[in-house]
Parts: sequence; structure tokens; C-alpha cells
Amino acid sequence: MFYNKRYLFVVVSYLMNFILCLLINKCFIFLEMGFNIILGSIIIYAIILTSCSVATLILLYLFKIFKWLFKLKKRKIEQKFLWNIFSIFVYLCIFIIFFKITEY
Amino acid sequence: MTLKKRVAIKVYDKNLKHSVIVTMCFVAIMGSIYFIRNLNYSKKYLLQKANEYYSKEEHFRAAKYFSKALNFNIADTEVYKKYGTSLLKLGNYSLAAKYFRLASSIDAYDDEAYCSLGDALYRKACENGDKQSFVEAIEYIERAVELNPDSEKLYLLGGLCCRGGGLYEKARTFYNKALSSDNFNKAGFYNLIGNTFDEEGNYKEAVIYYEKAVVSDNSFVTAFCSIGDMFLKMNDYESALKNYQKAIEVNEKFVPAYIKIANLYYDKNNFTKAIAVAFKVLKINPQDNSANYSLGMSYKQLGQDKESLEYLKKAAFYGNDKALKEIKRRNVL
Repeated sequence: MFYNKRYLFVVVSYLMNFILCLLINKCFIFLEMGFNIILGSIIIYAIILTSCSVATLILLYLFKIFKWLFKLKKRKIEQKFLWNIFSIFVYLCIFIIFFKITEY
Repeated sequence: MTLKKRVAIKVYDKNLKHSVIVTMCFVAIMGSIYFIRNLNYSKKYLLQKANEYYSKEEHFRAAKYFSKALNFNIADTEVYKKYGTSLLKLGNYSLAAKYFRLASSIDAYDDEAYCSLGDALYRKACENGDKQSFVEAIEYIERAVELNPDSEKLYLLGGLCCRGGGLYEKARTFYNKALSSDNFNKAGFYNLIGNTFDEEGNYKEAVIYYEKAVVSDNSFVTAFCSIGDMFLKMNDYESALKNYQKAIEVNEKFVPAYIKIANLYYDKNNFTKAIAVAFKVLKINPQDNSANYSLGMSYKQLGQDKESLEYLKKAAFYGNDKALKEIKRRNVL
């Protein structure tokens, strides 16, 4: 997603993450655990990006192992494909956190 | 303009188009989920959910629903009190106090609201060390006592608030009021008065009240130990020992009394007797970390380092910090 305009992806996903942090802050205000929204959202965004990058890399290596095990034809994995996987993971992460928060 | 350039301009960035559509669908799905989850959240439904979670003691969720319900401008004492209780359990004492205040402002004869408000202010004061909150808490508890003089909890809480704020005379007033009623355990309140004198440093007066506690209930072993502690503070070791032994006569499995005797013998450099008493404790409870520590230190004084280390390690294993420090000091870890 937004492969040709990756900066747009960062902006859009960060904005979604910021709204998520607003919801989280609203939830935890009872525990006097409200936090600085901007700093909190940056930290949470960094965690999401890191974990999604790791997940994408794991998937990539699993795919390579799978190809080697079953002796499949060597096909070069496109950068675009990897970026799409990564962006889907980021969206999925935000969705899961949002879903859990709305349960409360 | 050449044809190629025209085509180039006309070719849309398909990836951008698809990405925007997917993102908008994603945002729309999230928005609908949020909307559906918040749909039909009537006041009645919110209160029902809040009460459900409150009865299950899931205070975080209960607080969440109470706060949503309060957006409907409910002015109900019970709702304020339950919300306040949930906030108290979550540790948000300031907000809890606010809602208990609201509850008491609606019903000025509700002693429970004043008691809870006093409790919230007391916990807030303990957290911040704010003396003004202690004084405020005492005022509300006094009002609660006026409305319900038969509640033991109020006298205990009042005494606790006063002692927290250093107002020992006022604490004794609470306890004496409780004593004037025949409904409560007198020994307990005499013991508490003794504690206030102990905290003030007036050990002789403390002994008088601990003795009254013992006269009122001769199975009150803690009071015997407290009398012993007061004599120890007044450097009267014989009387202290006598009282610790009296505690053991009443309850021969009362470990704190044995520990105090062992410590007393240790302080008087009578390490053999200290070891003998500590072993008695281990017969009752082999995992008692104080007894193991006492043994470790006594053996150390007798020059028996191997046995000393063995018991210090046991004491440290069972959670004795002083034993751990002693072991580190010997650079064994």
C-alpha cells in the first residue's frame, strides 16, 4: 500500500495510531495512567513498526525455508510484495489494538 | 506534446488509487465497529452493565460504564458511591473523593458516604503526605460518627486518620468514644490507645493501656508482647522478658514472642540461650526467616561461621533482607 508514496503511508498510519492513543488514554484515565499523547503515540507507533518489520522478515525467511525444503523454483521476491505485506501487518496491528480497546 | 508524454500524464498511479480505497475502507470498518459498539448505550443499559461489573468486582470496567452513565446527568447517591468505590479500588483517590462528596451533598444523612469520603481522603493523604487531607478526612469521619455511633469501623478509621496526621490526642478521643459504647471489643481499643502512647514516646502510659487490654481479654497475646516492647524501650529487660514469657504461656505457638526473647538474649550477649529459643521457633515453623536469621547471627558471634552461614542462607531464602545483606557483606554471593 502506498508503495510509490511511502511518506503518505507513514502519515496515514501515524494518524490512525494517534487516534488509537487518544482512545487508550481515555480508557486509562481512571487509573490515573493518562500519558502525554504525542510522546505516547510516537512510542506506540515505533513499537508497531518494529514488530511488523520483524514479522515481515520472519515471514520472508519462512518462505525461503519453505522454498528450499520443497525445492521450489527460485523466484525473486519483489520489494513491492514485501512492502505490501509490511503495510498490511501495520494495518492489522492497529485494527487488533483498536478492537481490544473498544471492548472496554 | 508527444504522444508518449500525453500517455504518461494520463496514466494514473494505480497503486495510490488502490491504497487510498483500501485505507478508506479500513477506516470505515473501524468507524462502524466503534459506532455499533456504542449504539443503544442508553442510560439504563450503561447502569445495568456498570452494576454487573461492580458486583463481579471488575472495578475497571465498572468505572468505565459508570462514567459513561454519568454523562446522562444522573444525580443518584448510589451511583456516585459505587463509582467512588470502584475508583478507590483502582487507586484514583482524588476522583473517588470527588464522587463521594457529590453523594454526601445529595444525602446529608448518609453516614456511609461520609465514611467512604474520609477513607478516600485518608488514602490520598497517606500517598501524598498531605496533612490537610488528614484533617479533612477526620472532619468527615466525625460527621459519620455523629450519624452512626454504632459503627466500629468509623472509630477505627478515625483513629487511623488522626494517627496518620500526628493527632494522637484526637485519636484517643475516637477510641475512648468507642470504649464508652458496650458494643465493641474493649481489649482492642485499649490496645490501640496504648499504640498511640507508644507512637508519642510515652511508654509508661502505653503500658497502662496494654495492661488494661490484657485485663479485658487475658488471651490477647499481642498486648503481652506490646507490654514487653515498652519495657524494652525503657531498658527494663527483666520485665520485658517476663511479659514475652506470659505471651508464650497463653499461646505456646505464638512465634513473635519467641523471636523477641531470642533478640533480647542476643542483645544481652547470651547467644547460647538465643540459639535455644530460635530452635524452638523452628520446631513450630522451620521456614521462619527471623528465627533462621537469629540463629545465623548468634552462631556468628560464637565463631561458628559454617553454621552461621547455613542459617543466614536459609533466612535469605525465606525472605530476610538483613540476612542477604550480611551474606553479601561476607562476599559469599
